[in-house]
Amino acid sequence: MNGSQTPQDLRSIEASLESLARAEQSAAPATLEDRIFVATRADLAGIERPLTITVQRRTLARMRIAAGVALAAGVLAVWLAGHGSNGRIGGGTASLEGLENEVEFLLAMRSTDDGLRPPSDSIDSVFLETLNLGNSMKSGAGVPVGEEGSL
Amino acid sequence: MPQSDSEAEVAGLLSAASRGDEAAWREVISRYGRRVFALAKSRCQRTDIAEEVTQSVFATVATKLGQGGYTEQGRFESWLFRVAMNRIRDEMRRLKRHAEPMDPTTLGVLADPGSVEESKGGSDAALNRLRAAMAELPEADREVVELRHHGGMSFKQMSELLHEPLGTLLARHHRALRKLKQLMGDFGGDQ
Repeated sequence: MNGSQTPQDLRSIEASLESLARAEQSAAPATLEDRIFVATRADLAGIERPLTITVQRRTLARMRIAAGVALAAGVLAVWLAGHGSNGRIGGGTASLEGLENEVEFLLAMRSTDDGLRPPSDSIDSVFLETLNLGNSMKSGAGVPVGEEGSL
Repeated sequence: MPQSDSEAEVAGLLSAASRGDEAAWREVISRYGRRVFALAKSRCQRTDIAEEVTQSVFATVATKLGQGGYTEQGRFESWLFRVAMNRIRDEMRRLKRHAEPMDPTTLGVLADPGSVEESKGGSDAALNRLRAAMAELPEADREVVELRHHGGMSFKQMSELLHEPLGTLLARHHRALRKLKQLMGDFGGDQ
């Protein structure tokens, strides 16, 4: 019983503690084990469903379509700008500053988005803004050929 | 005193229980249920709360087993009693916050352990004096005594549980025994 090398003078108090421990165990109701078993068998059998996060496919698809449209619009805008009213590529007065202002305006508008709008609305607005940009370029501002310009 | 269930035997039971073997789970409860109960009862001095705590502890264990999350290889007892100690501490904090009335017998014993009536039998009186003496121990010493005797843990298991060197726990245990012996003498009785 005594694997702890308890000094001789302390063995009686140690024996008293053992008696106390047995008394505490005996104080448990006779049905303790049964009650624990009944209360916990469901926990033993239960397998928690893994938490799954599903991304709404509809939203993703719409975003892809909108991004594609925006890209096409951007390409169209650049092409139209390149084939301006005088029919020549790069014709007309290059207004890089004007183009930069447009882009800055677009970015500023987007940065004010407080994120509460659904993604589709954001894509729609970017698409419309891109169209407007293309139209404004078509009406007068040309893109210098040979210079790097990026929207 | 510590019950040394072989680790392999316990591991087998836990493995079976985690696969839904109810008989194995019953055996686990049978081996450890009352030890956890005794630990809780020593702290809170109330049978109903001790049972609640015990049930809560085994619910945690069952959930872990059921989910396949138990990974304490060969250290089930240390883990089990760690869960139990945490649950008991939570419960003691809750009791302090709500200041529930203490059992009058315990109150009387703590106030004047020497005046406990002998009508319930000398052994009960002696046990009540010992309970009162336990309440006087410093927290760390009381913890070691309870884990050792009520929980039936070995010093090695306690060392794993408390992350303390074995020698420190041995010294603490002996110091606690001396203090209890002195207190029991002060309370007018000794075994």
